Amino acid sequence: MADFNVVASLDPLTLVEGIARIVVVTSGNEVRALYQIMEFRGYEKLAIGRHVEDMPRLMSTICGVCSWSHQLASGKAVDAIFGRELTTRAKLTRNLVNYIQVLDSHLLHISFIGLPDLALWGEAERDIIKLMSKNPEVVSAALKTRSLLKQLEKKLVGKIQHGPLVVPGGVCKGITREEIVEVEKVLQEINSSIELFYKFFDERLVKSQLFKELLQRDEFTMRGYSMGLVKEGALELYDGALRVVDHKGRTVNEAGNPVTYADVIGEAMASWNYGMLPYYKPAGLKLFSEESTIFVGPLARLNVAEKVPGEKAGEEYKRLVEVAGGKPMSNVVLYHWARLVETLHCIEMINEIIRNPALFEGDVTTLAGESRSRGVGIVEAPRGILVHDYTVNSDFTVTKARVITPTTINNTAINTSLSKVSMQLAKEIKSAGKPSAETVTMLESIVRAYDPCNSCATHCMKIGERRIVTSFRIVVINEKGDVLWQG
Amino acid sequence: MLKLAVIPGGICGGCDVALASLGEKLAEILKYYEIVYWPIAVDKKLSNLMNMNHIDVLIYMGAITTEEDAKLAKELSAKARVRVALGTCSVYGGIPGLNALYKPADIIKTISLLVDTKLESSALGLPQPVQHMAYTDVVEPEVLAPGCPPTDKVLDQLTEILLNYAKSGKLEARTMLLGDSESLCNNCPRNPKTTKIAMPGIKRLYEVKLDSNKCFLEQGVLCMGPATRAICTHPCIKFNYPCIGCGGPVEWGSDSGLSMISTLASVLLVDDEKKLLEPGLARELNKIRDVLGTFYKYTLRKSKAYALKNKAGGEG
Amino acid sequence: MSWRPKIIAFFCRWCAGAAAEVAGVSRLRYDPSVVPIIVPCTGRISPSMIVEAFLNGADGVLIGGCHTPNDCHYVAGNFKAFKRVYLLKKLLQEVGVEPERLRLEWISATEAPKLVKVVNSFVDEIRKLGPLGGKHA
Repeated sequence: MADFNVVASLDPLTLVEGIARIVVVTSGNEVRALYQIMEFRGYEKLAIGRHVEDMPRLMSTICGVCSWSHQLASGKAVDAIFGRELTTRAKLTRNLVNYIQVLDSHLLHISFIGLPDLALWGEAERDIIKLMSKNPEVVSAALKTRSLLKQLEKKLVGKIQHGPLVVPGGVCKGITREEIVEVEKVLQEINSSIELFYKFFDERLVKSQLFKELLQRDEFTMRGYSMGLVKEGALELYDGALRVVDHKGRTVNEAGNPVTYADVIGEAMASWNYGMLPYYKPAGLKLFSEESTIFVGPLARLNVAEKVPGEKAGEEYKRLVEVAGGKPMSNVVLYHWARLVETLHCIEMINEIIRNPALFEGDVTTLAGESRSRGVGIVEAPRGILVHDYTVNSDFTVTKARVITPTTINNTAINTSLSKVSMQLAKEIKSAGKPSAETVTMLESIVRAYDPCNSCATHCMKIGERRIVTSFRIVVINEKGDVLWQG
Repeated sequence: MLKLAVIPGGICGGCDVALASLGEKLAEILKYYEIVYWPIAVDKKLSNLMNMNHIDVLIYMGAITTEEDAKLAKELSAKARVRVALGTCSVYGGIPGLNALYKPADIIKTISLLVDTKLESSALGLPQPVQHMAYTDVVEPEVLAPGCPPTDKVLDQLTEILLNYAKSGKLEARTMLLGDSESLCNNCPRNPKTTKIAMPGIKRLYEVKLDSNKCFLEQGVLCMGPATRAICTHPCIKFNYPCIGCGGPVEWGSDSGLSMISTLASVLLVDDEKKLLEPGLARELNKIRDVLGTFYKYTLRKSKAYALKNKAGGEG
Repeated sequence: MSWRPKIIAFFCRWCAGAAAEVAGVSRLRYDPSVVPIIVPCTGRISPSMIVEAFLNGADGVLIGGCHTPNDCHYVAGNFKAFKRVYLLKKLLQEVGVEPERLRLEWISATEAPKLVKVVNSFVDEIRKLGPLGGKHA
């Protein structure tokens, strides 16, 4: 099967800035907007031959932003291989780190990408410095919160990324009551920042005319399959069943056994993208079509879950669903709101965990269990479903490894969403030779809503002037590869 | 103002975060330096940088994974007065450097066997991957700042060097490896009680409940501490996890894997050698099923083992 | 064109090294492809000395030490050598070098004929394997 009809060549050197870009390919009347991930990895290869118990640390270096998520997904796969059930203390410790990871990443996105993107809609610069000049209190709260969270990670686990935590069947060290005192202090400060974000988001955005308009725009709709973990029907980030809900809200898949992910997620490999193009396998591959597109992350999670644990988070979730006009929610602008709901959820869950005496008592590792040759670990990383799947031989060295990241899954969704702008792009390029400013905003906003991490480069913090930039560029080319326009 | 450029190669983003988290130290640096390029931090075009005649300090983070990375690293480094390799990927190849043994085509083939569908090719270009390299494979930097991510100790020393250079225009030495010139073992908080470390056998991490006070080697758990440069204040060991060697070898040009093999031989079952004899010792050593991954998690690309692989001409 | 292998031999001065002397005095001939280096104890041979030998042109490395368990002049240097060589052979295998290019033998000071036999059989083996990296230098 061919990937798309428009064949064009673009010198890869054209704007190799950043790790991803949007390429608009024109050929006659046909126009195609593509999201291209240009980063070449190969962790599936370097895993082969390794002692499987080394995988959590090795694989955590796939990403410097969601390092803990990789370590935890990898750890679950390794637990499965050794057939080990975690002790309550180990499970709570891992959950705690997972919630901190999701919270940290969400706050990064909300403050540096989400709020500027929406609050400064229509302006040439939609970044945190611009927001700083208009709403300094929100931005400084964001910066402060982030640094508090980093301190917290350092206090709890020693390192802010790629640190030690997971061992087969547990964690290497438990957290003590003394250490948790610090966590409580930081949490209180974070709480007040979040309230500030929330108020800002609510008053300036949710109630705005712009928000109502964006919710109506067809370009922002995604009627694919929502996928996420649930536990007894509720939102779950570490250890649930994999549920898929279609655009009519029907549950089309729910599997407790993580190994069955491969029946649900298919992957296509295209030569123009180092990211794979996953699809909903039972539907068969229909490239750039919602009929086989899966999307993951905060919005998808709230679509598959029936309720959100946590008092505040639960209420906010209901309000979101109401404004969205019911479920499943299919407008990607709502990703931003869903992310906020999840930050509340994370904080409430962290508070619950640190008040649980079991966090401080008992063994952190178990060695009991019956080993097997394959293990799959799935967690909800900040950006969605993350799968690590390893096969080992009898001496527990890896013979096969497969990793599916949330950004990979959303790579298809982003491309499907971008294709909705094709008609508009074709019109503008035909008449003006380039996309209009409004369309460029649209393209960027679509990508930003999904919060891709292929590219920790899309999480961009401007240090000198403290602002964020879009480090993905937009290039318009024709079928010969001539660059017609670049943004 | 001096010109400072931060160039990312193949990165995970961890070094960016570490550098960005410098806070006040970064503010101090920015009194003397203007950031002329740093994709995650400043919105400046690469083309501007290419047109500059000189850069005062160039910090390279990440590994060289594509032809474009290599070309850019060489061209830009040629006009930099001080070159800094930041992070273990840049200095030693890092964890992705375990892939240095393979040609890119082999890696792509392994991955392609995992997917369900392969789409017919279109001509839209992607950067061409090259066999994995460290920055130090294409340039000889003046400052080597290892760590995954670079530690506070290393970043403090780097800040000092940058500030001194801004004030004096001079560097203390032609090549500076940051961290302390001793093995991590030297100041280990676990401080083995005996004068002689005896490793009671080899335990893989899945076989053991880690003791949070005892020297890892004395528990039978492999710890890279003896062969690793003291770039940190033992965060992993304090969190009850053995050192896995992100700091690289104790001295520039030495080989941490070979040092560790040597150390292991010196401590493993030292009191039982004459009882176990060769077959008994071999049985224990056979528990290590992955020599390269055990001894070279971060440094394979710059190791003598890799050089030997090249010499032997064996391919993936 | 005939190719002659380059072989580095590390001999302990108390045993294999002494045996090599005896072989010389007794006019026992062994293959001249071998360059012996006398060390105080096989426990002194670091893994990097062996790997450096290969990197600098050796096609094979032979180590001669004192018999286990009790002959080592320094109590147990020979066991250290055994463990190092054992791990190095695994490493050689993983980087695509035939582990047979590295050999450890116990040869006492009185075993000059054994030394000659070991050297000659090792040279034969390396000849069969050919030059390291497959290129005739």
